[in-house]
Amino acid sequence: MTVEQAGARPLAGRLPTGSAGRRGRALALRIVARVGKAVLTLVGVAIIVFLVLRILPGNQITASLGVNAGLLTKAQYADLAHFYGIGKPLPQQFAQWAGALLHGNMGVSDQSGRTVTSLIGAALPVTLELAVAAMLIGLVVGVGAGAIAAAAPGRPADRAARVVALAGLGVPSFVIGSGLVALLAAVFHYFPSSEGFASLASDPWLNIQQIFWPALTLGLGIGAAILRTTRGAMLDVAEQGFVRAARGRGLQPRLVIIKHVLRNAMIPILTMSGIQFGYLLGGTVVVEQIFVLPGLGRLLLTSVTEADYATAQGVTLVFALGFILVNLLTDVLYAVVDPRLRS
Amino acid sequence: MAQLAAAEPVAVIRPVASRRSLAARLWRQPSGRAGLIILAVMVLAGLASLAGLVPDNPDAQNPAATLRGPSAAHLFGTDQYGRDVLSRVMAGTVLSLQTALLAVAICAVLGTVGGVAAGYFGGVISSVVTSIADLIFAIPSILLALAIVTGLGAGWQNTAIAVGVSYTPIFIRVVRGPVLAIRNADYVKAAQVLGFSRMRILFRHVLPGVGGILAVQVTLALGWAVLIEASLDFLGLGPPPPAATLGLMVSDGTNIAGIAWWNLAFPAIAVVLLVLGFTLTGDGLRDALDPSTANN
Repeated sequence: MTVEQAGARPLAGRLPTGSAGRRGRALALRIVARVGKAVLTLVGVAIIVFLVLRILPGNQITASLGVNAGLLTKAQYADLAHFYGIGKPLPQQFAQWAGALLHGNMGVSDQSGRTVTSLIGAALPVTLELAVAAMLIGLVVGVGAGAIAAAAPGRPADRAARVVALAGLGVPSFVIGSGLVALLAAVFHYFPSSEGFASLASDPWLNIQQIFWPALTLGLGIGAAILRTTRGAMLDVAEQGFVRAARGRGLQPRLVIIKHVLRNAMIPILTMSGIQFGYLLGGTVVVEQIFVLPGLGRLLLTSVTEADYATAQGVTLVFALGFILVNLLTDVLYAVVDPRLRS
Repeated sequence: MAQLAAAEPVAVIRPVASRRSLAARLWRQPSGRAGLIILAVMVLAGLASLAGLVPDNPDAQNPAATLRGPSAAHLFGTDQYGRDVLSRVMAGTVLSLQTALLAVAICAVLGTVGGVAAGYFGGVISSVVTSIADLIFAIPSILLALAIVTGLGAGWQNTAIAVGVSYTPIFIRVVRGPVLAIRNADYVKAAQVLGFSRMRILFRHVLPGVGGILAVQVTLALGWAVLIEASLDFLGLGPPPPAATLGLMVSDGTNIAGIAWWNLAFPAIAVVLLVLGFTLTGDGLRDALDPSTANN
């Protein structure tokens, strides 16, 4: 929405509009509304996740006993249902779960016996590190190559960048990841995760090796998308009068590209980066599986396949929270990048 | 990842002169032509597989000829059970295509109905539809698909439902915007003043206006559906073995890539060609429909 408001005018510094106090209050109101919407979305996601997992066939009893669950007497089954808290009506179960959640209690994993909070606490840093590294690679590749391509449309550098972008979009991350694993193993007899995962604090060098390849796998796809957006947005801006005027004033072409074109193309690039972060979260499920990283994605996959509701719910909520926070951050960054959106 | 194109503006509200000229313009776009050629090859391979024109039965095991490299007898080599990889890749292509078609049929219908309703009627309907879309959007699509596939059980139809539902919000967003613009266009107002029925206005005046955008989005969605479907198969959530899915073949192939690279390479290439084919065709279609680039 904010993108449309920005219109096509170039950045023209701060415009004096209204008193500072009134502007401040309007801004505060907008922030409150935006945060309120984020909280509502999170509540909605919590309800959907809860319902979806309850609709799944099978429950904690069948998950822990398998076919033997059929041998239970009615009384035994009711006992177990009471133990797992699944005998009560759904709204009551939800209220119980949500109430505990507000106290930071996400329940206990039926499979491992550990609390979900501790499982997520252990897995979150891994995924966070992976996501940040992948996003960095994606931004550097995408914005860098996109700017180079847009600076000389039709030239060899532009063509090369477009081919790379197409490859990054067309090759699924599981294919890139599998290819990398196969290549590292066949050529270098090397698999960084074979010795178990090392945290950044315990063994930084091994940790960087373990994170680099999966981050590269995810970063290439993100970079491809950001590259295409950067190139397109910059070419659009480059056609506008103020860019020609800047060139006409004899400014260095490189300065024009960075200060005038790239800066005015930031909004679509930000939007795309935010969208890509959403895919990044989903992508961690696949990539953590390939590279055997003990992150949230792997935790989610195992918990869903093992009918470990409490864990699956918790992880999905953390993912959704991450997505919503990044959306919020993107909105804030719009205002940082474009002064017109601050008033 | 193909759906990111959805966020880019598609300036194609004006009607297209004729179907033939659109096809001709698509063919003139380098990306459109490349995409169409790739898709033609893959669809022909799939049709041949359906017609039984395969080198071997894709499920026939042959213990005497396991892990053979590519040769005249087995162009793509054989896997660890001695099954012909070419025949399996062809069968996997069929599975991928049919899953993607069903998935996109689901999200195109749900998304168009939702998007047109939200855009045309506005008000409460719009709020409800866009809120639901935002909610689904906040759950990463592969997680949603994961939950749905686990819930409904493994099988290509269920994979298609999962993929279709998770892509629906994109269709809603892509369709809603142009419908909002069309609703206020003079020719729609004129139709309302003339007292045409709501259904007639929707089908005769509003829907044709979003036809171009829909065509582009459907093509891009097909590429995305192949990608997610193959990813789910790769994670072991698709049809169980011995079904020949490209994702599962890549997964199995990775483990034995050191001694039998063809088990990884050929299914991987097939997935890439399918995704690229749809993405390129979608890009070409968008350029062909966009008056500002159509003449390049």
